[in-house]
Amino acid sequence: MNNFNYRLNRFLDEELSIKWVIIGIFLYIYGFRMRSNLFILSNSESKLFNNWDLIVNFFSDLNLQIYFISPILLFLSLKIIHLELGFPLLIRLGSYKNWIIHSVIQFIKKLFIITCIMVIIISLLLIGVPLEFKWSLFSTINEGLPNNLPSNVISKYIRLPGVFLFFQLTLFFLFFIVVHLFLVILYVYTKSRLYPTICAIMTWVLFIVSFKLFPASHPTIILPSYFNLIQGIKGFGNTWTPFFIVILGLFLLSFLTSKIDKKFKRKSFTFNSKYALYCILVLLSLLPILRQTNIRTIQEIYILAFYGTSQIGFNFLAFMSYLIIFYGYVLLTLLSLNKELDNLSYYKVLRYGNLIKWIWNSFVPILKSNFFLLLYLFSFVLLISFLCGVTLNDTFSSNKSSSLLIFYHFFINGYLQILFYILFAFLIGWYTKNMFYGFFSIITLSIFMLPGLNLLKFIPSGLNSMGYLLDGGSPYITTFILLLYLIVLIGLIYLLLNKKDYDI
Amino acid sequence: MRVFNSDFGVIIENLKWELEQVILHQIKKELLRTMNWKQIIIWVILIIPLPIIKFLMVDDGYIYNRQIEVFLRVNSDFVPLLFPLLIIAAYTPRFIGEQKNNFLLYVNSRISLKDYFYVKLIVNIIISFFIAFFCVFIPFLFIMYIEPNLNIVTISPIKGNIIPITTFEQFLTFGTFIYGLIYSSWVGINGVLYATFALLLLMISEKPLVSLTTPFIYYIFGNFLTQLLNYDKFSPGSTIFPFSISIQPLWTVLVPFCVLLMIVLILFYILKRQVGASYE
Repeated sequence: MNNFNYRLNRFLDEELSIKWVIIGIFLYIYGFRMRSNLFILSNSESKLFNNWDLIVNFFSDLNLQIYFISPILLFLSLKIIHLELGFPLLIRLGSYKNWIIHSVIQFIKKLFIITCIMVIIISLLLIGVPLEFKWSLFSTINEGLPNNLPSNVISKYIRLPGVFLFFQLTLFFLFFIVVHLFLVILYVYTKSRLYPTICAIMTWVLFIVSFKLFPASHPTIILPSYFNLIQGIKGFGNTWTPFFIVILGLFLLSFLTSKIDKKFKRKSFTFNSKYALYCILVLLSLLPILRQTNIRTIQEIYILAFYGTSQIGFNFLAFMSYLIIFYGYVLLTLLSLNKELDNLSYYKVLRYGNLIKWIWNSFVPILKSNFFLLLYLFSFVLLISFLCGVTLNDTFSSNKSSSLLIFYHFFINGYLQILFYILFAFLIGWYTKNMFYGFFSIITLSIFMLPGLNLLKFIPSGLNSMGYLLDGGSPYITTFILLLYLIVLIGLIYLLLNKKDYDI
Repeated sequence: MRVFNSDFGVIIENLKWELEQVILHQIKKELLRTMNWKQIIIWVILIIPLPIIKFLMVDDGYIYNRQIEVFLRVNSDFVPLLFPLLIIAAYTPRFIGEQKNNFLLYVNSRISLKDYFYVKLIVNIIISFFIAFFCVFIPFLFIMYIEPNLNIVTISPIKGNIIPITTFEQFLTFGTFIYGLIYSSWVGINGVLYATFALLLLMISEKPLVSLTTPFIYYIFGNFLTQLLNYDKFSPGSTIFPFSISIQPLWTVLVPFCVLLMIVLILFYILKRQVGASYE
């Protein structure tokens, strides 16, 4: 209790400063103008407005948010980064991760204070306004008002005004937490105060520019639609897309945060040129889908991006991009496996007991990274499709079972197919003691992707390509075939490695 | 003693002696050592099956106006896809074992490593040239001279002027056999470049898997990029196996060739600088 009192006192000491009062006065003046404006409008329309009109208009006023609140929040975020995070604090907290979490908590406190001030102001302004628990008559007017008032837009989408207020505040909180997290991570990575500052200013400029200049037909690039629900609803046509994107961003940044200490512990900021090259190649190979103009749904984007091959419609470019994406990844994996093979010595085998345990140990990270490759590809294509202007809404308007089929085919069959490539190459490479022959053999398998050879789809090469779905084949049979091959392969590898005597 | 003599003629004689005694002898030895039965079987496997499979796939169901179109169609798809790997697999992996098992250390006491590397490169050039050459030339001989007697494929000739469809058919005016020779030599020269690319990388970096697959990645990605940007006529694949694109002027094939040649020359320069420092 004592501790709580102390903390409360400190909190009040720190936070009850004159700046909040100034902010409050400004907000009051703005709100008062808004209120008198509403009075005039409702008089001219001769329909009564109630408390919710004022509250909703106040909390989702775009001008107020962009020109007043967001600069304050960005400034506070920078202040937290610059002043409150010093090395003594880092030593006390123990790790960069805790440091970032600490700063986020600090930022949430500030956000909370600003919200509190807004609540106080609005409750002052509500004096003399009729109180109701539903949308007012005034907010049901659709036309004839000089500019779209938020409450008039939103009352069509959400029945209860309280729910909207909750959503709006949550979105606002989440978005600015994402921005703050981004700035802090940038600071931790660069160790420079300059970059977060520049980035914050750029963000603010981008708010204004994207609000004023960018075309409304591309809601994904208009930043305000991610913290203003009204704007988001106008752009995307539904309530949950901005939430989805902001939460996705939050997850990504949290993931980065959880990994940030590992990076520093290893002290390896070395830019891995192989992976970078692979990423560039994959980007280039996914480029053709950006040039497509008549894409309607997300399913089409996935089918085009991972088309691979099909026995009916063969496309050389799609085949090449399949080779680059999947075989490129397999080659990278084989490089790491090759390193493991090269470093294998009898001592190492002794340490593991037998070769099976050794190979299992070195395969576990590969099994994980296979999954992550597919996940990254999936989310990257999702991102691209957002940027292309395809909204998630279309997915549900079209066939739902087909999207499930694509999802299944992409993840399950893709995973099994990649695993098959790696295991097959490893088998050949181990047998010939030269991984090059392993790679050579799986590349030779790829000729079965050319049309006319793999009519029965029994040879496991390119079976995860989306083109086969268009042929009318069932992905479940493909899974079965791949599983069959994998079992045979694992058996063979087991036999090869389980010998009593071997030379390395 | 001869080294101290500054007479120019003597130096030339000295070089000639070294060439005859060391390099030529070594090349002969290396070739003999390579040509064992196992290696020859590998070469046959590299050359023969792919054209046969392709031939069996295309021998009916297509309309051919000229005999040469059968040859062009057999030469599409499979061999072009795997071309650099086929050539590299012919000889280059043999060097991995020498590098890995410290063989080079003991070679060094018998022959200058520089000479040894040059010999390896020359043998690699000879072997890869012939593999790439026969990859195309054997199907050519079979389809142009043996197959007409067997009558497997039906040819439906058209009257009037023959329209050439692919690059290199400009050489058909000199006669079919000359065309075959020139075209096969072109494929052979490109094969040499890819194989030399791989071997030079291997000598420089000592990373087998990376260096043997890099030429292939270059090839695949070159094909992809040129196709993406609609510069098919400069793609590394289509300039060697021009079946998939329409006829182009002959100079276009020199563009990817020169790029590859530049890469090889730069790598050779790096190797030359490095070989003294890293091995000896």
